Amino acid sequence: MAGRKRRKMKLLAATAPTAPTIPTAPNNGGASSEEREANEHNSLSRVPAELLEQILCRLNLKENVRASAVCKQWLAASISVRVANKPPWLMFFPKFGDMVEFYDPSVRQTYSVELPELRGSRLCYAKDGWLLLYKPRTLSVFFFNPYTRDVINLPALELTYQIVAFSEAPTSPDCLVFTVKHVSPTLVAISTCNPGATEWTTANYQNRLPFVSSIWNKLVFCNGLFYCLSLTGWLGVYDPEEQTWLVRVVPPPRCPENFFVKNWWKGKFMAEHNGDIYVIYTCSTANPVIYKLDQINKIWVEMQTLGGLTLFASFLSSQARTDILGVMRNSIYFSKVRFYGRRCISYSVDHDRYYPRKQCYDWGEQDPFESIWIDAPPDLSAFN
Amino acid sequence: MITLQSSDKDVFEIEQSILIQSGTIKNMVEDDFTFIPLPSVDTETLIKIIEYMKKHADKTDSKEKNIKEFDKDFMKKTLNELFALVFAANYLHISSLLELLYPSIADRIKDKITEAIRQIFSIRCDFTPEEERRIIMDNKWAHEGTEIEGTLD
Repeated sequence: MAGRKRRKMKLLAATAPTAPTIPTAPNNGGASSEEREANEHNSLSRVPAELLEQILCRLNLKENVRASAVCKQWLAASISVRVANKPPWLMFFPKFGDMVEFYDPSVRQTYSVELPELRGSRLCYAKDGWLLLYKPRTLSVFFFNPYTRDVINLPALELTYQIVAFSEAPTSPDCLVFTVKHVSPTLVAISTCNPGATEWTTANYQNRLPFVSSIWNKLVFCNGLFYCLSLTGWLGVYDPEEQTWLVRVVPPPRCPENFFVKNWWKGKFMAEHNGDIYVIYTCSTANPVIYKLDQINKIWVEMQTLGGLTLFASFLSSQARTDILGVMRNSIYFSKVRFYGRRCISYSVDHDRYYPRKQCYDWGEQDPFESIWIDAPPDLSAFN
Repeated sequence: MITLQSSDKDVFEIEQSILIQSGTIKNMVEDDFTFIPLPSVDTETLIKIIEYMKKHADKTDSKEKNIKEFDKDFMKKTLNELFALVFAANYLHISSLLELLYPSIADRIKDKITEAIRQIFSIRCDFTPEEERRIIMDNKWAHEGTEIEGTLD
């Protein structure tokens, strides 16, 4: 019995130059095997899984990942308590038929499901796992959850040339749908609606600074306000609580010199994350440039790094995520998947390059209604 | 009074009212045990456990701040000592002490790179070189950094 213990001590010494002193029982003649076993059990290198999990669950994602590489037992324990965010999925709207494809960028898998509810409709916006859609033939506006296939109808409204957004899932009582329409450079018509209302509320608002609303608007809801980025980069802000509209005195993001090629102004994306607003400018002849709105200094700041954030860009709405595992950090994922290798086209801010290497990515030329980033489903039950 | 016996065969007589903070001891006391052997807790650790329970037995309002100070100081121990306490507190079901120990131990891991963690815990890496490479490459970003504090405190 004693020999067994000595052997174990030698093993530990071999793995580390400075072996710890393990609390041992003084061998005053006749230490029972039970005690010896208990002391061997109480060594740092053999912590029971439940205790290890209790300790590891106090670590953030980065610390958890470092701990997971220690050994197999630690890997299992780390993974079981790990909290990481799932990236959104890319949903492809069918051009013909009802077959909708969903692409999961984390595993590069595609799933399909027939959704006849989408027939005759056009994508408008996506947020919190819900889509907003418009049927031009009937002027019908409705929410749709592509995973549960729940439908929430809104009153009809003509939305032919307008970009629409909403603040949060329609199942929330505070959900508000918002759209802004150009009347003149100093006048817009804003329509809002919440699920359950019998009609849209429309009113005209003046803006002191010129603002031209168009189908090139980018909309996000952030900190209780609707932000609308115009074609030329001016920011109009609607406060639904105060019912005010004003154009922020923030000069548009400075556009790089080599951006002035044909249609450069089309390839813009806007996303919000934790109260911050990001705008991506793209151009077929240059790498994308990311700006973040500095609300205090009223200026757009060019971002050299994303601090671990991942942006998912699609024409109608874009998303942001932190704490995603793997290589997706500090990147922009665009709404296009290469056929070969099933790889989503992405741009790494860290490495200043596209993946795959740029042939010629003209995001302004994409069909705006063909795909959109949407929250991942909680499980795969929708696809069985 | 209840008698506890450590693995080193040292005995301690403590009031029942203090010891019932341990769920394990509480159960044994309810089953009329007055002598409780603890073969998996050595004397050094048992003394600390008793010190903790004595301090926490008197939980009047005026003592709250006092107890917080005590807890903070109590955690200033080597990692070995903290682990001995965690094993003992786990066996004895002293949840308040466990809730104190888990974050304290986690704090010792927080700023360490993987190899440093291995050294501290004397853990031998049981991944094949290929497996280890895969795990690191999957999340390379987390392994960047230069802290090399592989001390044992």
